[in-house]
Amino acid sequence: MRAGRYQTEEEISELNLVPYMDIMVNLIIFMLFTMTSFIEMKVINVSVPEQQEVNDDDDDATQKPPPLAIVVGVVHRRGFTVSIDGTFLPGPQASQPTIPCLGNGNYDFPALQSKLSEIKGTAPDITSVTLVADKPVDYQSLVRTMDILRRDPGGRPMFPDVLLGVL
Amino acid sequence: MVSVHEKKRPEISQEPDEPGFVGKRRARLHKRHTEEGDGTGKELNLTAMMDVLTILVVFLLKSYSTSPGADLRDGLNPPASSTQIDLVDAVTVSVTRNDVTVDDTRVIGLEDGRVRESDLNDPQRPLLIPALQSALTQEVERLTALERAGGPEFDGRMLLVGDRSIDYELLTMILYSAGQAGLSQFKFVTLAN
Repeated sequence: MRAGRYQTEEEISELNLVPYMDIMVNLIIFMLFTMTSFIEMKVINVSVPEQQEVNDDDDDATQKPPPLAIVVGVVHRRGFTVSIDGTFLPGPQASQPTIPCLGNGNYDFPALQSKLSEIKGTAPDITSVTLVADKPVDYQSLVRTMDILRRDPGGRPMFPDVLLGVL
Repeated sequence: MVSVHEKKRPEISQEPDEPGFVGKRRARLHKRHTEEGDGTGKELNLTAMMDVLTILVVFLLKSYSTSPGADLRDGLNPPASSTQIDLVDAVTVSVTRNDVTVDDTRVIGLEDGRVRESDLNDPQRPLLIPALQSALTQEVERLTALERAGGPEFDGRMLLVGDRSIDYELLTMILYSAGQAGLSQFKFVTLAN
């Protein structure tokens, strides 16, 4: 009789953890699905042209010109133009941009990479480049172009200071 | 004469091919039966599992509260990039094809990634979005006042979390409006490759 009573009390005093486990597991699954911190996010530093006061009295002769102005343009669905000091580098054909799109309509990023490596080889001191794009060019293509401008395939910096411009 | 009933059946061997097979199987069944039956067998120790789960929940809650930058809502899928610069805390402007938000407050709506004509009311400055400029100016004033009161230093940083499908025209309008509001350092938020 006495032993039986003890046994009943012991059974009652045991905490039933299974419902808590259910709650915890559901909570963890919910959090894992909704949280974004597992998605690794990085940033790209971007420079934009600074607003300058237009002053007619400026004597342009005293202003030091920039050493070499490299401008890379993304032409929507046509390709990339590359210009150095205002002179566009020619494409394979006269009517085409410097690096035309591939046959499937995608931008030819590897060709842009090799062209920029070539330019970097001739002017290793230049670290800045201006990037302009057509209005409909999508953000992903722009960021990919910036990646290519900033580093070569080996990870060495090419033109880390990318200045965004407007056509 | 041999009847059907008396026909000798083929003998079924009581012994399996392998000697001792039945014995082993019986022993295994018996062992399983006793383990399940007497209550002294393996029981899951739920207390230890609860510990693990509680620690996981606490870790996840902490990650929720400390992750900088904007949360990625529907329609906001930043572009992928190979950059290695870590995210910093700053004024966050999120741009999807449907709207523009400043620190989770909706500022203007967009029509499939384009600003409505009614939101552009300055013909002299076609790139300016006045509603965005005023929202960002308020934010800049608030952060500058905080800095004066001894808060964190404000250096005009802005994080742009843009969907990968938005076009360059919208991007330049947002950067121009932010520049007019006094922000000067722009950082594009990307997903690591």
